Amino acid sequence: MNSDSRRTPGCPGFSASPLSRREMLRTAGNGFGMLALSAMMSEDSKAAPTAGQSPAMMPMPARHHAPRARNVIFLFMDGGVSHVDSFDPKPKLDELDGKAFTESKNPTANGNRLWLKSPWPFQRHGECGMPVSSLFPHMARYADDLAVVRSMKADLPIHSTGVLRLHTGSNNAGRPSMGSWVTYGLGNENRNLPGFVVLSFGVVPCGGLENYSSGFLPASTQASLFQADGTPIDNILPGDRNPRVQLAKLDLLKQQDALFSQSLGVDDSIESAIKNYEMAYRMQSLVPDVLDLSRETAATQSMYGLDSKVPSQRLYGIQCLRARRLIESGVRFVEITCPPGASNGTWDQHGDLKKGHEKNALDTDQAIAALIQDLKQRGLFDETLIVWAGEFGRTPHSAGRDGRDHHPEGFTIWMAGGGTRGGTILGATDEVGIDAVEDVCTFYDLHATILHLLGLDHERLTFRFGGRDMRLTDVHGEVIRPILA
Amino acid sequence: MHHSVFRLAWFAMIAVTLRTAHANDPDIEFFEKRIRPILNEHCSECHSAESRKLGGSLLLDSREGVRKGGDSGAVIVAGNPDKSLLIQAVRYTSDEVKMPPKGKLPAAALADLEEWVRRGAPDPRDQPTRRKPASTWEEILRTRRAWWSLQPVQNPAVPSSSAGAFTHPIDRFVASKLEQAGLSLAAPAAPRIVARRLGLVLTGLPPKPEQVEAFVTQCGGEAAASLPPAAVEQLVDQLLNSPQFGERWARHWMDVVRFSETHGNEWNYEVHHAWRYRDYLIRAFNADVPFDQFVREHLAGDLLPQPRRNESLQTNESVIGTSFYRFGEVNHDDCISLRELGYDLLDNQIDTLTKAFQATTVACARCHDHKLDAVSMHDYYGLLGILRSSRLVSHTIDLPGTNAALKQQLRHLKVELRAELARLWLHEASQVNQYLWAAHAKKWSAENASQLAEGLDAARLEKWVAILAIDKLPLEHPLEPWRQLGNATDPTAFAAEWKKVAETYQREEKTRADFNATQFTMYADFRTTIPPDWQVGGLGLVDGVSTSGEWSIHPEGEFLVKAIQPAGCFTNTLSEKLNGTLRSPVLPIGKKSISFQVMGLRSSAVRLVSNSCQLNYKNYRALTNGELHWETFSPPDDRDSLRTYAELMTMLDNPKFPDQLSALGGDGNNYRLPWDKAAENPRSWFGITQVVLHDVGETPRADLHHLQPLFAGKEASSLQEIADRYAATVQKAVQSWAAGQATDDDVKWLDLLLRRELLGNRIALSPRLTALTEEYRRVESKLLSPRVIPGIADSGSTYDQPLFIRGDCRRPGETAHRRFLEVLSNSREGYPDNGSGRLELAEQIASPNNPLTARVLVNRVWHHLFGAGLVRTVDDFGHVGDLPSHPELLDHLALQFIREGWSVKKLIRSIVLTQTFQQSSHQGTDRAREMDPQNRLLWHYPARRMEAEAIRDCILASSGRLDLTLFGPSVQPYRETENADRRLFPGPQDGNGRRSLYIKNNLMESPRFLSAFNIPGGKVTTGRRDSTNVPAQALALLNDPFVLQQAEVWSKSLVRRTNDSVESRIDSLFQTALGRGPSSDERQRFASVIHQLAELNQVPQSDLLTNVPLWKDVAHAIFNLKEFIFIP
Repeated sequence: MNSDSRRTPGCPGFSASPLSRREMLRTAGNGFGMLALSAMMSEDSKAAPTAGQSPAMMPMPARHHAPRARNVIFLFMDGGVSHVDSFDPKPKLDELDGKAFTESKNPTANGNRLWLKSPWPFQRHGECGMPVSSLFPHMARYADDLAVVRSMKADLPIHSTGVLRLHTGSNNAGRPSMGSWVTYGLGNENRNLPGFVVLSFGVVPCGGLENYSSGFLPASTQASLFQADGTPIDNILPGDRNPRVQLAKLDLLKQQDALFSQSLGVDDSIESAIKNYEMAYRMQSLVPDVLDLSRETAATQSMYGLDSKVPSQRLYGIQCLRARRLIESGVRFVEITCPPGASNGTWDQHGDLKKGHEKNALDTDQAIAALIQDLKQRGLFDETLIVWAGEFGRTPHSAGRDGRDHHPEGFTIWMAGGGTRGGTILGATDEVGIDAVEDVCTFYDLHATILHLLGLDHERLTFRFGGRDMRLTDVHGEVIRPILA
Repeated sequence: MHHSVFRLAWFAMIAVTLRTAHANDPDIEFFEKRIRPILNEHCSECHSAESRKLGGSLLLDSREGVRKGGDSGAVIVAGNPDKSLLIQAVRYTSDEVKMPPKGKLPAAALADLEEWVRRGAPDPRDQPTRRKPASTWEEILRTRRAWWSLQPVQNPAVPSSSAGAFTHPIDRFVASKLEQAGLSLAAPAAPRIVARRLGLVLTGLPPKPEQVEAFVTQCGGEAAASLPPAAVEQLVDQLLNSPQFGERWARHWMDVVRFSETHGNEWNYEVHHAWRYRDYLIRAFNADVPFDQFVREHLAGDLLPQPRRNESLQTNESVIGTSFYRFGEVNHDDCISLRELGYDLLDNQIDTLTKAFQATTVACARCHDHKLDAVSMHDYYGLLGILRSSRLVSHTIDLPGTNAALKQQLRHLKVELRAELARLWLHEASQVNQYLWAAHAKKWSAENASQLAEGLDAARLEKWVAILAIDKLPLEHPLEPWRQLGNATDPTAFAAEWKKVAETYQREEKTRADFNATQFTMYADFRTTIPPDWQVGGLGLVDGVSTSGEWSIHPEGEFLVKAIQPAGCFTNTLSEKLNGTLRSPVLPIGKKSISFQVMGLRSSAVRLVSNSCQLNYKNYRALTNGELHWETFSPPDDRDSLRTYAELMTMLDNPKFPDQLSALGGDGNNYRLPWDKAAENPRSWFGITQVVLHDVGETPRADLHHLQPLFAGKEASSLQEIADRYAATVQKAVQSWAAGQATDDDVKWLDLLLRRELLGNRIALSPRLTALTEEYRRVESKLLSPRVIPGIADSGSTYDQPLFIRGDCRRPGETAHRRFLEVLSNSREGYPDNGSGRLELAEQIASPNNPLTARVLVNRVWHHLFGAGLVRTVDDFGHVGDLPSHPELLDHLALQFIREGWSVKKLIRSIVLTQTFQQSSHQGTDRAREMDPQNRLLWHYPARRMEAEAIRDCILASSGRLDLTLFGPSVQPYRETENADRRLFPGPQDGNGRRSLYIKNNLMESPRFLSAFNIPGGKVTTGRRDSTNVPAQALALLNDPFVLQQAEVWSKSLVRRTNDSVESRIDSLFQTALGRGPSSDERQRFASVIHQLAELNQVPQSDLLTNVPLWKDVAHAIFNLKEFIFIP
């Protein structure tokens, strides 16, 4: 493209159409633009891995053992999906339905309570014959790829502590998020993108943004939040409408900052701050590029539900597709939150269980199935661990007739891909779905398993802080081996 | 044979002892075949000598271990599987432990273990465990107390400086270390640099241009080789005395105490009035309050015998210090069921307290003795006991004299108003019989109805009719007897009817009195005095209880009397603007329920507080009823160890205001608004008469005594006679009330008549009433609203806290005495029982003999002046912390600090007047860089990025938008939309130009621009901030709307300048933002960029100096200069 054709200086009323990224850099001549360009050109050469080929040119940081997975996509089911309505059928509840349940110890589940059967029928799916309720018809098609753990046990029946526990291993804020631990353990693969991304819907989760914090780990391991709607990240859109204006400023800054750096002799922090401007500059165009879904085929878009009439379903589809593009670009850990629902968590249906869970399932089910299918088609499924989990399950009994309360005593999560064994069901709750009774697993175990699959030993991945060698799993955790391939 | 006889014996006696199995014992076979494999397979990982971590201190790999048990005590009761913890654990029936943690054992294994215990747990494993016995705490402490920071502060000799050039002791300490390393201090920095450094470090703002110029001149010009001490002193003193000094250092301290203005968690409740603590800090640093006093105020400001008074604000300053306990995250859930919530909250307080003042990580000892430092579990639980002997409360900080004159005026006016009202009511009372008759006639459509209504107020009569039309009134309602008697259709049978009604009343009165006397125990009676063991707070309760007939006034509108009150305790007798709190002692064990006879409105509340949980919704009730009624609660059974107490409070003192989820609190008024909006009208009040305890499932029945005048005396023969008795009763009530002698019975009559508008209550009743009411309201409007802070108070009784085994609050162990850390007090003796112990604790921490307090503070100051402390881990002087780079200097400064009266200003002054502080930040030699890359020896002054607040403040200062107003409520941070569920409300983009420490610190979401530059979260002590270097910071300065907005603000003022050229404008931009003029190269570079930008923006040459977008670009570029955000 001939850049000169666009230049008609002095012509009144002329307003330049946006330059392409590369063109913009080239026309910027030397100085800052040149520097940014050279960095980007090398980036471009490896930006688009073909199917089956991982972007493996980047050096791999040391691991404790051979990894099974390179990436994690964490599907956070905020608020707590009902286990007895999804992956853990309890025929006994049909029998007990409407009968009185004596008082629960759980303070968020007291009052006059009745047993409540599932409003959704279960059917067996896949070669493994895994029972999945009619809530999730799309996911059910991938039953042979899911490793379901039916015996999760969390701590308190409180959203804030539960969400923090799931993300950081601790009930209280201040600990690093699991994505930060992964980034700390493995390093950043793409130096132009953050290693830990949360695809968010602008909802501050219970427990606060601390759930995505790096805690005491280096701040560079902190999550970057990309919003579903509108501008994906803070300040990513250039304040300067005209890219040449920004480049002119950046050139000026580079020269001035170099002077300032000289006046101090040498100062690493200034040097790296200058580099940050280069990275920031590249991110301005790279992030929108990575997140630009117009490059996907219509078939792919439709598979993820981008043509849905339901805005929340469409947005969730966008986030799932972005997640795939992000891991392709070398982002290690991507979390996808749920579109806003109940005020303390999307799946938090104390009332309106039927309506609420069906709406949330509609939003998420198709896109999650599409993600699995897409990753498989691209040969990325085996190296990408998908984790589907909320902070707890929901009570098999109800204070009303159409709602379930918080239930940490026994509930279900699943994992897929990345070295897990599909078609597995591990553990069990009792016959009414209250207590996890077999192969009880905790979030510590989940964390240990995630790290293990990434080639990290949860007992050796430590950081010294406040007098201790801190771990994601504190003093607990055991790899959930039965679900490993 | 021997063993079978023995077994017979224990079957017979059921006194089974643990058995030692011998060879040839069939029990051995049983053990070896059945038990050992189970123990090996399922237990040994955590309960053997080889375990990497021993679970619960329990060894199951030897007989000795099995018998000794673990943290929870014995695990086996021989012969009795049901009572054996081991069996309970494997059966999963124990609340404490379920073993193995991964899932229940197979049924067969369980049966074998039960059989083994039934047999007496025969065990041939006589080899004692090979695990080394742990050292005792005494032994451990002996070693650990040798740690450097626990040694008394020394008075080290000031090194003689061979270089000879250094006179200041600090310089000599630093220079001597450098010398030993073959290094030296850098040359003095240029005067301009020193001025900017001083301004930024001391006030967080660039110095004023005229200050800089004066300083440079005094130094003899830009290139001065040395800085005249007098000139530096003058500038330093100007800066130390500027109000902005206090703002800067207050913000530093806010990091230490994890300052936050909301409590985070799901609903993000407000930390009410937190900004008053921030203002307190600003005043304290500006007034240079001695740091030992500052410590006392933080720990026990509510208990000081002579608190500091703020004469200009008329407040108690000292008590505000105690707000520091109250920041951080607080959960609102039911903490009776979820006990750990309360302990987590206090854990955060202990963590903050010990890190802030002692740089010691005491909270590590919650679950076990500290792994490295000299802190035991007894130390931790001793401090916990002090906090559990205290309460988290609101304090009203007004001095007692607040509003005194106005209140006196209001009292006088009330006397006059009462007299005038009584005059009017006496006349009305004499007509009560006429109204009754007329209403009666109307009800029954009697022929003479209209005749009887003559001369009566028609509207008033309608009210009488309306009431009498009600089918059934409560028995205690004064008009119920009239209604019953008036229904009698046969006038001849009146006497019999009267007798029946009278008897019913007499009988029922006795039944009710008996029921009340037998079923209820009086717990607190507020009708004569406030019980002495209740704590009283607030301006509305300073006069104590009021007698029968005290009354309250409508603050506005056409009506005068709001209520005539029985004897009791009311916050609103003079004004609803005055606040109040009442707190009971720890509630007694025994009765199931507690009931409060209360009234109140507008976010006042009554509740039970258990286990320090401030926001929990269980046992919380908003008062939404302005008439006396009963509120009943069921306190938890273990209310003694949960330290449960009752609390009543008005809006300003209510930590749950505005209640986020009205369904739980019953307060639907204002729950999804910012605090200041919700509290725009701060009127709120409550009244209480009595509190009773009971087991019965109802509240005391209303008594009927006030109806006696209707039935006393001789039999009534006609309804007419009853009407007269009504009139007489009301007249008597008015007369007694007028004379100030009303009884509660009189009050019941008057209050009812008023509420139903059966007595005149309009201020227009008489010109005098109108005038007096208007005067009252005028005076009332001048009352100052109470000033309230969140704080802490002693609970009135003490509690020695049991240790929690492994930190688990369900597993209490030995009792810990309330006391300070053993290693620092050299004692294990507990504090006396006359208080929580906070005062004693404050004295021990504020003591000049405490080896940590002065060192820690001096180090914090050094950290802020040099970007790194002498001990870099400013919050941890323990084993995981850093060792001091200059231990002698640290001690020298600590000692000097104490000697100079704990003056922070003197300390800062002394340090910044050194050559060490004033040296150049140029990193001259490669050799020094190689030897000491971290600059711990201070061979140059460390230039560094400013903190988030300073960056924002400097942007505002440069743009001209900075508003230097001091103090006041915080400004909401910028946000596009509101999220009322999380109490996140949008504020202005530019924060109204206020300095950053006035932007609200929201625990759930940090202010966006500031958080890009590592503003701390507000949950834990952060004496040393991260200073990260990430692209998000570049993005923020490049693209954040705040930065662009301020560039535009600056540009708009630039283009208004006249007699300007591009060059002179560049000079001005540099002066304003960087405190220096540009070099000629720089001037040229900027000029050329300006022309380039003009071309890109198609700005004609003629508009060059007036084009706003152009100069906005230039200003924006300046904000992005590293020099702009660096302390040089």
